[in-house]
Amino acid sequence: MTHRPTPPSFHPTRRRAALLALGLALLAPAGARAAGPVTVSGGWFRYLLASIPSGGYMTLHNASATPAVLTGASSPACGSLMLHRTESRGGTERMVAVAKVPVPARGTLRFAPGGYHLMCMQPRMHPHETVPVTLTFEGGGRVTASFTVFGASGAPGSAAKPGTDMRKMRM
Amino acid sequence: MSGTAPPRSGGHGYALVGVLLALLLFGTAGALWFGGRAGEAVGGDFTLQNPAGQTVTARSFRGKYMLVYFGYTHCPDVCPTTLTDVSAALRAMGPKAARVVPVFITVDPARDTPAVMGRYAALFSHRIVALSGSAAEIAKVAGEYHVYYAKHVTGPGPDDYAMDHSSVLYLMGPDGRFIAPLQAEDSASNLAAGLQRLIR
Ligand SMILES: [Cu+2]
Repeated sequence: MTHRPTPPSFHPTRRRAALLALGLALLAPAGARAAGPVTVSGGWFRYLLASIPSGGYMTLHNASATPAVLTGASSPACGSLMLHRTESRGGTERMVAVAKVPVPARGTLRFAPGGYHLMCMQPRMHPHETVPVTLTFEGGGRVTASFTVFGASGAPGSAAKPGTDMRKMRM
Repeated sequence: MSGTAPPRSGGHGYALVGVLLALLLFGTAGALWFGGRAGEAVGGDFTLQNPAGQTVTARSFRGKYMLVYFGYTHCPDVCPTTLTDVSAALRAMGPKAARVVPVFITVDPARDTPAVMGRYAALFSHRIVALSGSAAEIAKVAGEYHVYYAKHVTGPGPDDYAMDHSSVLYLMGPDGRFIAPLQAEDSASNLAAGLQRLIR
């Protein structure tokens, strides 16, 4: 039942990947990074084990008068990073990959447990770190945000499923 | 639910249809169980392996309440949220929690060996007893609990699949008999309140 520590050789690689991504993000011309009006807040991953995908969550805000469409995500800390959604029907849960996630005009879209999530297939991260995630939008816009890595119990208060009253959640 | 008698009049029949429709519309796990499986017992004996590789049967839990949940470790969204809520609910319950054993059974035995199940469950709570088994053993116990599960291919690789699965918590009594389903989507505080009410 012991939690196997990450092999020591793993850390330098991961840091290098994170630094590289940060460097690229800083070097890239502003136009390449800006998704126009879409911003990301509250990004986090739930890291479980290196051999198991990590779920990523965030809130997208679209300040413009036109809808934005999220079409992809990538992170040096994930190998492949997919857009997923959990569908719940009659007590059965099913995870499906989605190609496009619309963010309404002057609106907000939440990736939250039990609904939309980023599926980080080969997590190379550890709790208490932050890792960069780049989101790609229809029309070529990109935005890079920093995600906080939490352990199995997730971000504080995150257990509330979509539609759950947050005020009832506090324990 | 006395839905077994054939309706004698049209009115009775409509009422029955209405009730069934309402159950379908609510779509909760409990409703699914009562609506679809009325009369069939939930639970039964099983033979599975714990993380230490030891054989565990339903009788290993006699004298304790079992809170049974089926899921799998390559499930990064729903299963961790449920296991987090169950762990938090038991922490919030005080001494009564000692009478409940949360049992997490994989529906993906091909990837979830007993050792993997142990490492995964320990991330949430050391109270959780994580169980795996052969494909046949898992099929048997899932059938007894009326749990639906199916492999759903997501890519070309052998590891590219997810498991669709029923997400229900089953509370079983100290005698091994089914007491009630609890909603896995519920918050930790609601789960704790439900368990406090159901456990004597
Ligand atoms: Cu997923």
